[in-house]
Amino acid sequence: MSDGTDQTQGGERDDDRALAAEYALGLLEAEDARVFEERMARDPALRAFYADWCEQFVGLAEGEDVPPPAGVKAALDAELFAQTSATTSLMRWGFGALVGAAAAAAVAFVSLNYVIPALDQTVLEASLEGEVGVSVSARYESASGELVAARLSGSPGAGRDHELWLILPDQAPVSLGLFGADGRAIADLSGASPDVLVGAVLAVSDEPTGGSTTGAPTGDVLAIGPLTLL
Amino acid sequence: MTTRADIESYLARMALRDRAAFDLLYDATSAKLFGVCLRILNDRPQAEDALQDAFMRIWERADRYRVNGLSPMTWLITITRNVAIDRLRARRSAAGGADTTVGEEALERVADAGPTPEQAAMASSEGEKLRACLGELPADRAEAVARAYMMGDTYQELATRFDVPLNTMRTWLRRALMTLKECLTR
Repeated sequence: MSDGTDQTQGGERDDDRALAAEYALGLLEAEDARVFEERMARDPALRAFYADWCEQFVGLAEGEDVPPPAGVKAALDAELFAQTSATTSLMRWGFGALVGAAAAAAVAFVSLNYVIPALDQTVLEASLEGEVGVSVSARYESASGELVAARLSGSPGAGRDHELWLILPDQAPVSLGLFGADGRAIADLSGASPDVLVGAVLAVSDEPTGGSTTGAPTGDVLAIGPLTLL
Repeated sequence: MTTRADIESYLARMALRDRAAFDLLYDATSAKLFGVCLRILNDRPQAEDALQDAFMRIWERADRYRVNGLSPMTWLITITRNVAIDRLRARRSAAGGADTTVGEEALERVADAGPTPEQAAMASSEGEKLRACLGELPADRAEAVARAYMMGDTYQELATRFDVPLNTMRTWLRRALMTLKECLTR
C-alpha cells in the first residue's frame, strides 16, 4: 500500500499505523482501544491501516480446515431461529430455496380468487430498504386490488433487472413482476384477500434482464420491507 | 468452490435476515473457522463453543461487515479470532495465568518461516509473505507478534515472558511492527 501523505505527516501516520497494528493484535488497554475505535469511526485512513493489518495477521491463523461436528450447527439454529413469528418464518424458507414450491405457490396464488368484501377499503404501505442503496416505496389499495411500487433510489446494472416479490408467511416468494424503465412495478392483487397481505413482505432482487427464469429469486436481495396497515 | 463474491452475497442477504444465506455461509466457512478456533484454544469442546459464539456474532453483525473495509474472509476470521482469544484470556485468568498449552503450532510456524527477502518476495499467499517477513525480525520479536495474535498475550504478559520492563516491551514491539510493515510493503 503506497503512502501518499506528505512528509510532515509521515511520522504521525507511522504512529497511527503502529497503533492500528496494536489494536488489531488486541494489545491496547480497554480505554485506549475505545479511543482508537472512536477515532477510526471518523478517519478513513485509520480504518485502512486497521484493515491492512487484519488482512496480514489473519495469515497467522491459517492452517488446516477442520469440519465442526453437526451439533454446533444444530445448537446455532436452536439459538438463533427457535422462536416462531412472522419475521422468523420469513427467514425459515429463505430466498433461492424451494424453487418448485415457489412455482406451485404462484399457481395457487393466482387461482385463489377470493371474493373481497370491499366495503371498507384497506390501504397497505411498505418501505423497502437494503444495504446497497436501493429503496422502494409501495402502496396497495384493496378497492383497485392494485399494488404500485416505486423505486426511490438505485438502478439495475447493465444486463440486469430489478424484480419485485411478494412473500406471504411460511410461503415461498411470488414474483410480482419487473420494475420498468420508469422505476415502477405494478401488480394486480385483486385475487388476494387484503387480510392475507397484512404483514406480508415485499422484496426486490437483482435478476438477469427479463427477470428470474426459475420462479424464485436468483440474485441478491437488494431491499426488503413488510406491508403494513396505513 | 465458494468465491469472495459468494461470501459477500451471503453476508448481504444475512443482513436482511435471510436464514438460507446463513446456512450457505456456514457450509462454506465453518471448517476454516473451526480450524482457527482449534489452533487458538487447542481444546475441542471449547473450540466448538467459540465457533458457535463466532457465528452468532457474524449473524448479528452481518449488516456491518463493510464498515471497516475488510475482505469478507478476513472479517469472518477476525471475528472468530477475537471470540476465541476472549475465551482463551478468560481461561487463562481463571487458571491464574498458568495456561501454557496453546498456540504452539502458530509459534512453530513463525519459527519455521523462510528467513530471506527473496523468499518473502516469492511468497504466493499473504500468510506466507507475513511469515517470511516475521522471519526477518529478531526471533523474539516475531514470537511476540505471534503470541499476541494467536495467544492473546498482553504487553504485561509479553514483558514478563521476555523479562524486560513494560515500556521497553512496548517500544520493542512497535518498532518491530514498523519493520514488519516495511517488509510487507516491499
